Amino acid sequence: MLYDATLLKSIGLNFSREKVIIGLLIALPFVMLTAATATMPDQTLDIEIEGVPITPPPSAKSVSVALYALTTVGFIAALTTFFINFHLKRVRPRLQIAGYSSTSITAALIIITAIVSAIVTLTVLLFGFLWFNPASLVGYTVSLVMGAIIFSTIGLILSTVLESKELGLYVLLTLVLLDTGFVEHPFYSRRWDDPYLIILPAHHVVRMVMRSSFAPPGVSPWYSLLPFALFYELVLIVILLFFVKRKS
Amino acid sequence: MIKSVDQTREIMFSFIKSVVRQKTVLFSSFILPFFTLWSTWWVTADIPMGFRLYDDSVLVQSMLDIHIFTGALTAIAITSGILSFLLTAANQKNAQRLRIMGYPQSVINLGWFLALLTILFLGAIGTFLFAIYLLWPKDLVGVFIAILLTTAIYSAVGYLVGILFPKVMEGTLIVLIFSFIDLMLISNPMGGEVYLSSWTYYLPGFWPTQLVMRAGFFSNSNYLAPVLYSLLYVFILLLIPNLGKLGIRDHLSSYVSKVTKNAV
Repeated sequence: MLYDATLLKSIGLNFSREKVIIGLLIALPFVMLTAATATMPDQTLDIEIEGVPITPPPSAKSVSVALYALTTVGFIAALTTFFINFHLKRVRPRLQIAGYSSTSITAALIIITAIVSAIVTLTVLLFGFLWFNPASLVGYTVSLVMGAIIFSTIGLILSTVLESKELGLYVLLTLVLLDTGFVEHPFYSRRWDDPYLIILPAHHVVRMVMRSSFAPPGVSPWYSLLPFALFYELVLIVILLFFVKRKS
Repeated sequence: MIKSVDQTREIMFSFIKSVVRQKTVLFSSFILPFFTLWSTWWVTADIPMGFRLYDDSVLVQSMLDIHIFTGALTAIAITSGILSFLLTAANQKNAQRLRIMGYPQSVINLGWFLALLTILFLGAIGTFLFAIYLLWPKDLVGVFIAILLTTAIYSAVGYLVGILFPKVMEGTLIVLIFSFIDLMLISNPMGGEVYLSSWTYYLPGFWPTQLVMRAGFFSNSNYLAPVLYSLLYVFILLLIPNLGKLGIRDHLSSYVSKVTKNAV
């Protein structure tokens, strides 16, 4: 059976005992978004999307909050998934001896990851509203959830492939921070819109965030990029399945 | 005294040997700072910006140039902080065994911290060389000292978190977010309204950032204040986990009970 309520409950209970992680889920969005607004100058940014300038130009603060929300979601989703799966590697043989199939364990893991991603996205959205209102709430929420899913899958891949917890942590943290917080941040980066950045996990999601937050007229809507983000996710899932199969 | 020095040296070398065997050390000490600094330089926009330093000197420079030096500090801070945290947290069991063998806690802590610094010193040199390759500073020594100070301070930050709170995921996140927010956002001249606010002087990255900015773009750097405050910072951070061992807590509690008794 794919879905097993007892298994889901026991893995979920195990996770919920980690009070500090749950505290971080709440505190990190506040810290990151406060830092994002406090450290941005009171000025507007001239940003072009597909060669069309955003009018009126958005404030540096709102651009930063919009993107740091994605960084926060990416951080927490990736790390939580990485750690849950990494610890599960040791428990998995015992669960299999106890009669749970590999598929039902993975399904429970994915459900918990989805729940965590939803909680994080919701917290980030709530804090984000203190500083800015996206033009399309639905688009912005979908973009953040998509970011959480993509980075969670990367967390799953790394926790499957790597034997060193520390190495996985480094790779994840560096990737999320540099990708969403720097390389694709229009304020800091001169290359944020370069097409070859397509290989980065947040490439399409960042563009979805920008379009849904500021909805510039004359530019393709946020949902036109959703298939590309989903395709990226599909590629990641194929990579994940390849490694899962190879390891088992 | 001589015995303590010998013990510290012994512990330091044994720690260095055990740490060097780990692959993550190689990755984090050399590849991570290089990659962070390179990506900072590669993407930063080349637009001019003007800002003040703590000594009221005014600087107008390209954001790209500024980010090469602040990026170097951020890169080595993240590396030192996380590596120091991870290794300290993982080393708690070894420390316990050494205590059973009769080594004093202060000697173990000092030996461990010196071992960490020795390894990270190599990372700091690598970061420094790469930074000056990207942009030649006005004052080479000042930039090197700023990178070393950041290495020492953030090693102490990681060490403190590793001793007080040895949980890998939470600790890593705390160290990473803290170092990033400190060096890339608040102590950084890019820090908008909060930059140079009086409370930011107490952040670990403040003085090294001021020194690196001064040394990067002026030929006459004043090392005294940044070096003294940074070393004081390291000293305080190292002292906190040892407060219990020094008996300060016991003295404090006996003093409080004495005062309470007298009052009654």
